[in-house]
Amino acid sequence: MTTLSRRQLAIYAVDELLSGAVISHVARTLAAELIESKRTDQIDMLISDIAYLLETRGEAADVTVTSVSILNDDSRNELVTTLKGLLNVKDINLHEIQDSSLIGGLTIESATKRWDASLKRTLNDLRKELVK
Amino acid sequence: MQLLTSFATSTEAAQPEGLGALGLDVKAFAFQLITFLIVLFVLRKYVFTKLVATLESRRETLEKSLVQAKETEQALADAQTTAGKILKEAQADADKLLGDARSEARTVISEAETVGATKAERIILDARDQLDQERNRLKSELKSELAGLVVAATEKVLKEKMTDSRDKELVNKAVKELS
Repeated sequence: MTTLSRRQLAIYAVDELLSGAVISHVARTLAAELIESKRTDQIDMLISDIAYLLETRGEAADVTVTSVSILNDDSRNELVTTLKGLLNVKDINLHEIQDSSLIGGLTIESATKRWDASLKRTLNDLRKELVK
Repeated sequence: MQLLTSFATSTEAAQPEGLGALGLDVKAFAFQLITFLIVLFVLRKYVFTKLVATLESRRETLEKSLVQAKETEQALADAQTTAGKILKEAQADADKLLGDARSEARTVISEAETVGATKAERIILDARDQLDQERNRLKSELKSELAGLVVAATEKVLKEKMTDSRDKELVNKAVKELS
């Protein structure tokens, strides 16, 4: 029996989801394939591949925002609108994480892009400049 | 011989005449002459030849010895001359070798001095390079330490001074900059 590659599985999953298939059905199929081929340790990578494909096809982006304090609604809405334009997707799925080590500002991470506007990064850049 | 002497005695009684008057006995003389001739003949036949041959061979031997002695003397003289020449040449070679050895020794000493000086120079240069490297390393370490201290101090100050409102300002600014 031919084993499908991870990329092929991701393409299958995205095609099925965009054609309106039920998510649980698609998930079960993927799980069965991974168990059959003894690749259950690759599930995280498969999810990343699916997110990547969805983003590159302009459908949806899974974005993680890390900041010191919770975003207010205005900031959140503005961020979502901006990201839709920047990533050229129809929908943004925003996940918020709080991390006080950033000191201030925020970081934004999607499947294809990353922005770091935190004070932590600014201090790191300062350190590199001083060491030069 | 007895016969000859008895014959000479028997003739002694007669009165001397002719040559006898002169006191010369002819018969005795004749017998003596014959005896002498016989002796001479015998000697000549059996003695003289051999004697002469022997003397001749001795003479020849002596002559040969003399010639050989002369040749030997000549050879000795030649050998001495040759030895003298060889000795001279050997002396000259020895002097030349000594001169070459001295010259080579001077060259070796001079080269050793040059090599030694070069080595010393290289050691000094290596030491300088090492010192430079060490200095650069220490500089780099110091910079890094200093940077770490500055950043740590800044971080501490920022954490103390950071408020929610300032954080929100930063977030808004970042979002605006994204667009």
